[in-house]
Amino acid sequence: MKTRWLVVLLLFGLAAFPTFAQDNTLTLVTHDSFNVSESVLAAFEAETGIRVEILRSGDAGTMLNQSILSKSNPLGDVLFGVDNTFLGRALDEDLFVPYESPLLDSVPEALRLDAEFRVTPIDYGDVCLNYDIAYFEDNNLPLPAGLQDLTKPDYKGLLVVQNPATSSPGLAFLLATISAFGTEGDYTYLDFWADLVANDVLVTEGWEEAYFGQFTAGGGDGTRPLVVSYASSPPFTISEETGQPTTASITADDTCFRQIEFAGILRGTDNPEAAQMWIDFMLGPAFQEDLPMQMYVFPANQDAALPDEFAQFAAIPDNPAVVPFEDINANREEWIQAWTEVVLR
Amino acid sequence: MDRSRAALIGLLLVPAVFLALFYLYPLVSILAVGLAPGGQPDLSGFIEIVTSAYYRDTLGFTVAQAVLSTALTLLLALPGAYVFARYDFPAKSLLMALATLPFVLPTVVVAAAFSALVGPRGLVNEGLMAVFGLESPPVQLERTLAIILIVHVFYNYAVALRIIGGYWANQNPRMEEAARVLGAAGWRLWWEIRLPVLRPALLAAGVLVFIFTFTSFGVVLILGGPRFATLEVEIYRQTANLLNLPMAAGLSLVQIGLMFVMLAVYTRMQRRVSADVVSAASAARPPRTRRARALVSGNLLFIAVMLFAPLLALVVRSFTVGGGGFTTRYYELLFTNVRGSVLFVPPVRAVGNSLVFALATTALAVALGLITVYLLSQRGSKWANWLDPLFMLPLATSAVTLGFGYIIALDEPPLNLRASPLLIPLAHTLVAMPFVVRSVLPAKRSITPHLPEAARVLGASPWRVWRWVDLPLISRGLIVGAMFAFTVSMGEFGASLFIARPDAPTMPVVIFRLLGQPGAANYGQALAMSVLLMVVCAVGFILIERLRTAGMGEF
Amino acid sequence: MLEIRDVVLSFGDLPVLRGISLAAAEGEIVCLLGPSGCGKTTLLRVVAGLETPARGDVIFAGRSVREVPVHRRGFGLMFQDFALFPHMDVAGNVAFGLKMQAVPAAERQRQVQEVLSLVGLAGFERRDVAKLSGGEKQRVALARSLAPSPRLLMLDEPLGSLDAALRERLVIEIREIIKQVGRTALYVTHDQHEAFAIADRIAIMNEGRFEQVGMPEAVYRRPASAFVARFLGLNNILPVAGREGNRIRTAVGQFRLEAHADAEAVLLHPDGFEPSAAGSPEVIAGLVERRVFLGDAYQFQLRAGGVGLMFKLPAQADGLPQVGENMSVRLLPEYVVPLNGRDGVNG
Repeated sequence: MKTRWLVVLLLFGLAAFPTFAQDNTLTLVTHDSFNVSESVLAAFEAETGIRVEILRSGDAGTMLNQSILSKSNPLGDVLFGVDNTFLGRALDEDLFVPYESPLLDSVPEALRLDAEFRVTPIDYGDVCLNYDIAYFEDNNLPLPAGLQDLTKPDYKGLLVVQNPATSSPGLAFLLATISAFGTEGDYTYLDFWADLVANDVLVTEGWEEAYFGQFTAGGGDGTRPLVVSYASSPPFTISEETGQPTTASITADDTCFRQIEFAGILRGTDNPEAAQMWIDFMLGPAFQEDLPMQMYVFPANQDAALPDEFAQFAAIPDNPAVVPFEDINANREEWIQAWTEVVLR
Repeated sequence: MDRSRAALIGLLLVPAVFLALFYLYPLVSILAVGLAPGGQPDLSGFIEIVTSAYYRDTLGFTVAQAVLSTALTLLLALPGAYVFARYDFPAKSLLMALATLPFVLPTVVVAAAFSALVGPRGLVNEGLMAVFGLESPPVQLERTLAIILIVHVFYNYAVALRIIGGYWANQNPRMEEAARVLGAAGWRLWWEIRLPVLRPALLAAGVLVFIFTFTSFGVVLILGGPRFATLEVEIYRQTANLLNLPMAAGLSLVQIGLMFVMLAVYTRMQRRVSADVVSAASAARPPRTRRARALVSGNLLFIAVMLFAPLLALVVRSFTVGGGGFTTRYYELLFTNVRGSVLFVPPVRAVGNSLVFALATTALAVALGLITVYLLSQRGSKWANWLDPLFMLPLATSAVTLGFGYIIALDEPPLNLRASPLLIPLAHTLVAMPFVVRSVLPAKRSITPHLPEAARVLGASPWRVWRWVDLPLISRGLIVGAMFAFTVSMGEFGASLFIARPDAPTMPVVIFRLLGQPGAANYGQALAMSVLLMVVCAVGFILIERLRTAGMGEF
Repeated sequence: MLEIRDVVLSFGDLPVLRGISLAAAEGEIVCLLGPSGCGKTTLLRVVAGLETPARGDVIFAGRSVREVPVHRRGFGLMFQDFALFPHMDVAGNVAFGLKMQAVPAAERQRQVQEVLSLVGLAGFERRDVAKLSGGEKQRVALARSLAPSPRLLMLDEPLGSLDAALRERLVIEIREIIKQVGRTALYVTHDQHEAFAIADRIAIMNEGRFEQVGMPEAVYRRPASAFVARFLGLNNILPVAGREGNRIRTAVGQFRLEAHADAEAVLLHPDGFEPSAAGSPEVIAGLVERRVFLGDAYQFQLRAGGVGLMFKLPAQADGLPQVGENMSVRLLPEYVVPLNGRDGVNG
């Protein structure tokens, strides 16, 4: 009687080992913020006959680290979602094979960071301070004109940021402060952060808790009207009654940090042609114009038209902070460690 | 005869093979990468852990908060367990089912619930400020150890309540009365009789709660803030953010080693206890004296405040996010694919996915857990002392460690599971199985060998012996185990997120996705989905409870 | 010593005790006898303080114990299922009550040994209670309730779970032990033989009331009601069909009643029959339906006047008829027992 159980379990075991033999399938390894419109993806599949499998493995950091660990036997054909704060690690690990897409001509020079074409810029987003419009109006409070203003008594206890060790926008904001104050001299970024701590800055582990939990206009029960988020966040706070957003971003010079997201063809893919077609597709107008409302970022292809909400309410800073990705890669852990000592201990 | 014996041994080995394949192999693989990258041993992580004050402090905090949380949970759940074991009152099983709900909620959602209740702008503070005309919120719990402990109790209360209450209900109530007649009362009654008699259940519940709080991740991160870190948090940071595998492996080994030693001690203690299980009809009766009524209502009030108030605040918020008054808009939005996203999932499908995974997990965990129980209760087997804690270890292992292990270990056919949806029920089963084992093992051990022997003498086949002798005696534990397995799977989202294919997201994954996007509409939908998750789970619990009373009878 | 006054108790809508009163003298063993569900265990629990009656009072040594909590009453209660503490050994169980009274350890040990040898378990101190036999568990439970020298000892079906032979032996032992320590005791059972063997006085309970309280011999010889008679296995109960002064008429003949001539039923006590010559007055004549040899006696079932009468006759008597033969018997007058039969009377 019990042998029957054994058979059932064996069958289950066999069922657990499916064979992946579909020929024209492309596996996209990406992070859990990836999104695309059904129709856009369906058009690609219909046009090329390639079936796309989307494999989302955790946040951007987890996804990258998984890909590094499995590089001898890659998880998929294309990786999308590594940004300039982690690009160095990906390139050091030699994850990608070069491919120069013909569409790169439409991408501004500033976004094209790898001269060897191992990665292709797909989109960018600016991590900026967001504020609760009503709060600043009700309290007749002027907006901070730059980062230094945040240490003034007027803004005491108003700001919530993320831990750069665990949060992507948190790291971006730290880099913005490093760009603004530098790491050497009389007043370094660490002095600035010490002043921020003295001015009662709140640090959360992730963006969700900062935006929904602590921000006054995020929908939750927060108490802080200033939050580190994206320049593209305000369009999502458009009120149904007024048709106007309840939040806006501050895009003053050197207060924002630009994250550029890249895609690359994973070394070891057995379907390089499909992978190249996918890269071209991601840079093409259909995907690029779909990007903003699906992933809340700006298209890298400057020919792509922006949706109305973006054109109207998502500001693009003229002069975002810049830190070369090689520098980031060389110093990231050290900067975060020093930040942790000053802010959290 | 020999063939059936071989088949039996083969059957008993199935869970061991399962554990080896889906737990030990990936774990050892990832630890090997960390401790000996490229074949050369690298113990730098270990040395830093031992020498650095930061890691010592982290370990100290991890242990301290876990001890405090466990003690607090047991202390608060004890009177509740007594009430549930000894008294009958209206809607008792419904209340018990609802008390298990916190267990399924993602931490971010729980944080939102507590924030809505006791946050600076929460209902309690707004009420107090309005009533007493205060300028600033009087209840300041954010980012304190207190809120970590409170939320740990919120999460784990039901675990303790079920395990202790279930065991207590099986204890002879006359034992306590005998002690009272002999002159015991008050603390002496607790100290001399109740606590020693409950020791197996207290240990079981204590160990589970300790493991959960020791490896606490989201609660510490979100409610405690970045200032607090457990070993689990540090392992996550080292693995997912810094890719410092030597350090991550060192920390993982410290965590797993500590847990293993504790579990080994625990399972040894547990084996020595000979429980006097009365499988009599329930000794519960309505509270008759004023004292009894006060005790029952006091505990129900506590459960209402501790467990239901945050849940209720969450429900209220799901209708009021955005400040525009009551609206069902977020529930309606859940059903609309506003942006035509390929990843949009109608709630019905997310519910379906969750249920399919949860039922598969429950079936697998119950089957494997049952076999494990028989494996562990083989008489005279020495290795059961080591196997038992081993089966518990998945609970104490960081999800990110195991996830990375899967990536590098299960990457070749025939075991290429990295991208397979089957990985979800498999991973969930790993975590759910210990619940089944812990719930069933005490009952199985209390079956004296005479019972099956007597049945066999009466001419019953081994199968019928099991069906009519063993099963009725262990069925109560089995139901509790199944309930937890179901819950674990419904609420789990770490592994699901990690390996979830976009076409099959579970409810927690949908919640997580919604929370990854700005705006009150997304937040409102996340809360609405959480409420939906609670409702689905509550219905599931009630159905499982029904199964016990209808299908198998009350044992 | 103990006085139970008009105790009333209900579980929800279900009345369990309907006005119970009982007194027990110092050193007396009173047995509560009745079918299961009659309320006898509940009465013990009321006296112990484990249940609070809706009305009535329990007086012990001249004082009401109504307001005295269970643990201060100083009574001993031995449960039907023993309820031993599984986490303690034999000595630990027996010593528990002494420990609660803060008896010093050395003295405690001495008393435990004394009580254990009294119940015949000397040397069992360190045994694990889970591994004892039924009889041994029963002795440990008895020892545990005796050890703190309770002012009142209550035993709730203490032999219920044991086999008949063991029960017969232990019941005598228990009586001797109780008498030896000289305690007042309430003993609950549903077994009449056990009750007869142990009790100084028997109180027969039915549906939350006492049917009859008295010495065992009196209860047996002169049951007060049809319920008591039937419960004791005395089944020759006949309705009174008519009466004339102190003479009554039944289906099997006429009898004279010394008292209670207004009774509606009578018991023809099976112990009062003797063979008689046919035709003499007050003789019962009928047909032998059954004759069972019991060793020292024969059990007869005689069909007379449409009724089956059961009685025993000594085996030595000469000329006892066979099955199917006619038989005449006579009933000694004091064995005609008037019953105040509230319940129905059979034929």
